This record gives sequence, structure tokens and C-alpha cells, in this order.
Amino acid sequence: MAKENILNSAVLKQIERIKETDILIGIPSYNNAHTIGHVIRAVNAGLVKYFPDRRSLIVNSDGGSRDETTAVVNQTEIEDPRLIMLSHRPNPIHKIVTPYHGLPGKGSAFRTIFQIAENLHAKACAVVDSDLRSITPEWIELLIKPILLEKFDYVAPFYLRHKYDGTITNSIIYPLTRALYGKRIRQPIGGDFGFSGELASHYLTKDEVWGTDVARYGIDIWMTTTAIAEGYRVCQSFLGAKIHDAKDPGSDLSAMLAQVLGAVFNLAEAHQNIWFSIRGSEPTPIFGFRFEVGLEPINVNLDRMINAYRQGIADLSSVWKKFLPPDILGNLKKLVGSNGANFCFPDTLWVKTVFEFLVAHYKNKMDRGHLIKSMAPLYLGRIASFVIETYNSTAAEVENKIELLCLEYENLKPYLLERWRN
Amino acid sequence: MQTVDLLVVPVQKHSLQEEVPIMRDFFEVAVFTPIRCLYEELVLFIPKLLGMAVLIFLGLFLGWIVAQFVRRSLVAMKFDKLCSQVGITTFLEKGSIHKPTSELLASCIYWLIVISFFMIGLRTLDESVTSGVFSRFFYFLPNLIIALFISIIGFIISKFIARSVLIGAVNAQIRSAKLLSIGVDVLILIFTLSLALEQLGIAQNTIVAAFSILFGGIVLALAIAFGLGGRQLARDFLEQHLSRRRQKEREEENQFSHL
Repeated sequence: MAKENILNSAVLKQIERIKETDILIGIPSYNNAHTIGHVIRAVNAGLVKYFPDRRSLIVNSDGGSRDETTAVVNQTEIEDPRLIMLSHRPNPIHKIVTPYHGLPGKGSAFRTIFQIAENLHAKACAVVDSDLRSITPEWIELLIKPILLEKFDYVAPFYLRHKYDGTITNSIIYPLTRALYGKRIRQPIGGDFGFSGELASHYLTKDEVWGTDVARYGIDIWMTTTAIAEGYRVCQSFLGAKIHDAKDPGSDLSAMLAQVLGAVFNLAEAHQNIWFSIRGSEPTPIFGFRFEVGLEPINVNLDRMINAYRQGIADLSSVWKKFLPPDILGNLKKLVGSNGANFCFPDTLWVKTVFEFLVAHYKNKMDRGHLIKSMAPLYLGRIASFVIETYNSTAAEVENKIELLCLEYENLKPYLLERWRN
Repeated sequence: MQTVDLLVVPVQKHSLQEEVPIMRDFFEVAVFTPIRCLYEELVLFIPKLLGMAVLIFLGLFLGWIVAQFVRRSLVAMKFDKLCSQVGITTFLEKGSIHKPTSELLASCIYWLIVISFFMIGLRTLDESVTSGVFSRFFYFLPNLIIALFISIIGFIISKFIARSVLIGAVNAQIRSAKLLSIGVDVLILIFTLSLALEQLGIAQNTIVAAFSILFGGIVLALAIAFGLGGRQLARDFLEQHLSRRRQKEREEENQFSHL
């Protein structure tokens, strides 16, 4: 079958002119005119400061922004080289600004970036989000150097985040990925990654995924899982704080949860022969100097989340009873009785619930979209419980709590295997 | 002179010996002949009945054999996996049908063979009586199959959409999510039923009228509910819209006067 051409003629001409590059930094965007200037400046500075003798390229893969995003990308340069301790004016770095082809979403933007990386034989690549407010030039060094100097294939980010930020990551994605594939990648859906040109080409060989949730929010977990499961060398880099447009864990959730969990569950099915034999987990090397940072507070509407859980139990039990064992459903129902401050969703119950959803998804117990979307009220209940439990906890205490949850996922893996096989 | 002919009719006198053949004739006509006829008909009918029974059993047996063969062949060809991959299994599960596709297909073939043999069996009973039924059955069969198909598809779609509405409404924290979902389910089922009955030609006008009244009633109820609930909103909207329109008209008038 002929390979689909996803690059337009203008981009192909630019590629012909540039011929080759050592480093490629990809920035997906959609209406990010307010923040993308800062991201471009940080990337530019990182490239000229840490890789002055390398051929570098910045690719902005845009989803048809209706604001000034592309104009900002084209116009942004380093204002004053002395600000980043450069004594000379650096050579301008190549830029390609292109709309992407395919389903609207981050994954399609990344696919365009992978294709350009392959065409230009890039040695090391990185992708960073365009809504970041905390990115510094050092991020580029930390995402690229492990690839160029240490021969890693994939660099996952390691951030410090507010205890209520990244709730899908903390309660499902990190512990589940760790339990399944045996690698401790703290931010598997962080959004900012480094990867080798070889891995970018490998991603492009997976033609079947670009019409799925991978083309949207599912891209991050797909990249991480593919790298781990298919034996690429994986590490992490400490990037400090991740400050971006934080979301209340109870808002704008259903579609995001469906896309991310859909991708995770599909990947678990595709790689079942790999994770069946894995027990426990091992740490992954972390590059970068660890330091503490102050984090912006996040407001959480606890009542709204508990009410969502209660309504879910009242209205969706008939849906869940098609695949949840009676004891688990019974225990979930019992939680409704506890009032606000005493609301507690135990780790074991949560892990078993996630495993049951995963197994039901694998066994096609009902429409997969319905299955995952119906999980949203349970997820909100779990987050409400987590918020109550950690209300007065420090960052370290919260991290310990997440570690205990991860161990519960690992300990209950035989339960998952048994349910998966029967 | 007038002459009169006299007809003398001899009076017949029946003796007991003469009455016996009359009774015999009566029994012959009233009892024996019908019994004989019944017997003759039974003699003709029983083989036909046996033939029908044999045909039905043959249909059941042949249906079972063919269904087993089809099912095993499909399983060997990994047909279920293929259906799962192309989404047929998921589609069936949306309608709460959890049987493997190979088994469903085998069941359909089984029942098709059984029904066909049953109809052939019916025809052996009495061609003159059953041929009408036979021809009417096969004339009606396509409509019946289409009506069944409409009902099944409608049922699957109603369950799927009702569940979508339920999950969406719960995630949006709409209080009456379940009621909304049931309403959607019932509405689609009524619509499906009216389509299926129309296909069968049963009380076409009544069904269409009933559906129109029901659907119109629901829309009217919603319109009244919105009208009462959103009276202020509607008034504000109309006032704004009309005042803007009047302003525009005035501007146009002014422009026109300048010209």
C-alpha cells in the first residue's frame, strides 16, 4: 500500500531546501497566540545555548488557529542574546509552520512532526506544548541531550505539579502503566517528550492508529507505551514545575477521559502478550537537577464531584451491573451513604474497579465509548476522596500516597490476569 | 252428457318386512355414509399428516445439521473475530445481544429451514385449502422480514441512543437523566413500531395518526413548557430583536430620505 502523503508541497519544498537537521523541536498549537511566543523564545534560546553547533529546526504544527498563533511563531526571535549569556548573535534557526493533516487533535499534529523529522533524518527530536508558561531553555537541553549523548530513545518529562493537578495521571495512567509494563514513568502523558529520529520513524509505521483516539489526546500515552512495550531505551528528565492552563478536575472531563483511557485500554489489549509476564516494576533513570518549586493553587469543587458520584451510582448502576461483579458494585453503592468529610474511596476498591473496566473493554461487554464515559462519575468520586484525604498533606506526603496506590495496582495484577483470562 | 273419469289409487300397506330396508337407507345416508366419507378422508388425510410430520421432523433435523455445520465452519474460519474487528459484534452488543455472531447466523439458518419445511408440510395436507395460505404466506413473508428487520434495528438503535443520553446526561449532572433516557428510548421504540406496523399494512392510518398525535403532543408539551418557563427570556429576545429591526428600518428610512 502506498504511503499516505501528509505534508503539503510548501513544506516539502522547505524540506528540500533544508535537506538535513540534527535536532527538531515540534510544537503543536491551536489558538495559542498568547503563550506560544514564550514557548518559541525558550526553545530558540535552548537550541542556541546548548546546541550551537548543531543544525536545528522548529516545527509548528497548527490545527487551523483563528488567532495570531502562526504569525507569532514566524515573528518570534531571541530579543537579546545577552539575556541567555550569549556573547554573539546566534544564527537564525529554521522554522516550518504548517497546518496538519487528518483528524483534528494533538496526535495528528505530532504525526506531521514525525514525518518532517523522518524526511530530514533528524537525530533527536522533542515536542513541547504551546500553552506552557513554565518552560525554560533548559527543558530543551534536558529533553535532547539524553538522546544525543546517552543514546536513549525516549525521554519522558518529570515535573513537580500541584497535588491536585494531573489527577488522571496520578489515579489511573501512571499506576496502571507502571503495573502493566513494569517501568516507573511518573508522567507518561506529560505532553513534553524527547525521542530519537529512529523512534519517530517507528511511530510513523503504525498507520492504523491515526484514525483513533491516538490522533487526539491519546497520543501521549501511545508514544510512551509504544516506547516502553517495544523495548526502546527510556529515561526521564526533571523539568521543574509544569505550569499551564490548569483545569478543575471536575470540569471538561468526559471527552478527555474517554480519549486517554480509550488509548490506554486499547494499548493494553494490543500488548497483552508483553505485560502478562511482567511482575512488579523498576525505576527509570532520571536526568536533571532536582529542586523544589512553588506551585500555583488549584481550586477544586468537592461537592460537585461527590454529587456527580452519587448521581452516577443512582443512574448508571444498571449500566455497570453488566460487567462489574456484584461485590464491587455493592461496595461502590455503600460509599454513597458517607457524608462529605467522611467520603472515602479505598485504594483496593478503586484499583479493582479500574481493572474491571479494563477487562470489560477488552471483552467488549458493551460499546467501548459508553463503557469509558460511564466511568467519569466513579473517577470523580475517587478524586473527591483523594482531595479529602490529602487536604492538609505536603507534596511529599501526597507522593507517598500515590506510591501506595501504585503498589496496590502491582499487588492486584494477578487479579487482573485472572479476570482477563476467564 | 258429461262424463267423469274416476281414478282409483290403491292404498299401499307397509308390512314390517318392508320397513327394514327404509331404516337401513336412513342409517346408510345419515350415519354410515358420513363415517365412510370420514374414514375415506382420514385414509387420505393421515398419510398427508404423517407426511407433514415427517417433513417437519426432517426440517428440524436438516436445520440442526446445517446450522451445526455453518456454526463450526464459521468458528473454524474465525468469523467471530472478523465480526469483532469490523464492529459487527459491538453493534449487536449495543442492542444487548451477547451471542457470538457465528451462533446467531447459524440460528437464523436453522429457523429459515424449519419454517420452510413447515410450510411445505402444510401444503401436503390439502393443496386446495393450504395453497391460498401458502401463497399468502410467501407473499407476506418479505414484508414480515422487513418489519422484523426494522424492529430489530430500531430496538438496537433505541437502546444505544438511550444509553448515550443517560451517560451524557449523568456526566453533565442533569438531575432527570434517567427520565430523559427512558423518554428517548420510548419515543424511538414507538417510531420503530409504527414503521414496522406500516410495513405489515396493519391499521396504517390509525398508526400514522396515533404517532402524529403522540409526537405532536410531545412537541407541543415541550413548546408550552419552554414558553411558560422561558417567558421572560422569550420576551427579552423578541423585544431586543424587534427594537433592533425597528432601528434598522429607521436607518433605512433615513438613508432613503437622504437619497
